[in-house]
Amino acid sequence: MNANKIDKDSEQMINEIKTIGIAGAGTMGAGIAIVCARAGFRTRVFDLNQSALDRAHNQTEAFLRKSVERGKLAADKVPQIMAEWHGTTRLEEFADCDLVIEAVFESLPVKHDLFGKLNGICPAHTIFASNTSTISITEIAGGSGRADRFVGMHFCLPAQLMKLVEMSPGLTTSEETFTLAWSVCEVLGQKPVRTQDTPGFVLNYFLIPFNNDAIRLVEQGVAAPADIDLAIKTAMGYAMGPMELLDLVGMDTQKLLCEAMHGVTNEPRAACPPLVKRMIAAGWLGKKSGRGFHSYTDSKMYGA
Amino acid sequence: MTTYRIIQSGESPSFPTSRPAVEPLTYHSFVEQASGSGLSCVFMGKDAGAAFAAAGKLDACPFVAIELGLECLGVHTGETRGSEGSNVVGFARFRLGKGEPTALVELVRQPHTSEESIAAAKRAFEAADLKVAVCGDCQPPYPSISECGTSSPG
Repeated sequence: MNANKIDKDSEQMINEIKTIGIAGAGTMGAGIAIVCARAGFRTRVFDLNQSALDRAHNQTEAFLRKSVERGKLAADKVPQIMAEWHGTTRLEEFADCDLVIEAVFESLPVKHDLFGKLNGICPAHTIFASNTSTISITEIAGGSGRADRFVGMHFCLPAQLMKLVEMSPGLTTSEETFTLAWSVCEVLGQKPVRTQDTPGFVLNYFLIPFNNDAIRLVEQGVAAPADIDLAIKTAMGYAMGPMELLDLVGMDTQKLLCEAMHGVTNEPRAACPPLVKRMIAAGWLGKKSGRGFHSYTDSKMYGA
Repeated sequence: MTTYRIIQSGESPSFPTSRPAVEPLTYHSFVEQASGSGLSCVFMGKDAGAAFAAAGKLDACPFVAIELGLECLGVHTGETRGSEGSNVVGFARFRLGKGEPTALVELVRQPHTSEESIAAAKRAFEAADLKVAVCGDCQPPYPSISECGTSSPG
C-alpha cells in the first residue's frame, strides 16, 4: 500500500520508537514479543501471572535456540534478543513504552480496563494497538482514553513464524498513528495488510467459520481429527490442519472468538460448537494443556 | 501387503489415463501395482458402482473399494439405519475441477465397516504414495469424545 510507505517524517518518528510493550504473555503475546525483540526493540512483556511470564521466557529462549539449530539465526543473536526481553507483573513498567500491543482475552471490558490503566501510565505519544481478531477496534479505542492514537494490529498464530499482520484503523484513528504503526510493522519484518474495522477482518472472517465446520465434522463423526488435518494439508496445501491450529489457538480462546464474531454477525457458522464447551469443561484446551483434538507430550512453543 | 485387482468400468476421475500424443500411456503406481490375481477388488471408473453390483459375492476379499462420484457409498452397499458395514469401502482422490488429482484419497466407510478392511485398503493406497483420510459415508450417531482426541498431529 503506497500510502503507507515509510516517508521521511515517519522514518524520523519510527526512530523514536525504542520500546514496545506487549500486554499478555499467552501464546499470542509471547510470539509477538519474539518478533519485537528479534527486530531489536526493547520489549516489555506484561502479565499478571508470574508463571505465565516464566513460561513465555523459557519458550522464547527454546524457540530461539531451535532457530539457531535450523540455521535461521546466528548463535550470538540469542543473548542479544533475550537481553531485550523484559517480563513484568507491574503495568507501571510500561511507562517508557512508545508502542503497546495488547494481546489479552477477547473481552471488551478486560481490554477497556487494561487500556484505561495504561492511559494513565504511558506518555501522550505512546500508540496503543490491539491484537484483537474479532472485537471492533473503534469500540476498544473508545475506552482507551486516546482513541486517535489507537490502531488494530492483528498478528497471526504462530506470530513468531507468520508474517501477516492485519492493520485496521478504527473510525477515530488518526492517519499519522496508522502510518507510524504500519511503519513499525514493516521494521519488525512483518507484512502488513490494511483492512477495515470489521469482525474477523480478512483472515478470521474465513477461519472462524471454517474451523467451526471442522469441529462439527468431528462432532458428527464424519472423520477423526487426524484425518481432517491430513485431508486439508494434503489437498489444500495448508501448513497446518484446522484441528492442529485449533489446538494452538486453544478451546477457551476459540469460544471467545466465536462469541465475539457470532454476537456481531449472527452468522450460524460462527456459533460456538457444543464440543468446544465440553472440551473446555474437561480441561482439554489444546496444546497448552497437553490435550485438545490431539495429544501433546510437551508445552514447547510452535517451531521450538 | 494385500494384493488387489482392478475392475475398470469407464474413465476414472481418480486415476485418469494420460493419453499424450507421442509418449506412451502412463499409469499411476496404484494402478501399476494391481495384479490380475489380487485378493481384494478395486472397482474403478464412472460405472464402478454398476460393476460392483454385477460382481456377485465378494465377502472373501480382504477389502473391496468402489470409486465414488458424488454419491454415497450406501447407494451401492445399502443402508440399514446406521448399522450398515461390510468389507466394502468407497474412495475418491480429491481434485479441483479438471485439475490433476491430488495425493489425497478420501476413504469412505460406513458405521460398521470392518476395521481390518479399512486398514488393508489404506495400506494399499499408501503403498502407492497416496495420503489417506478416512471419513464417514453419512452422519452416524455422535461418537464419544474419547474417540476424537487421542491422535498426535502429523
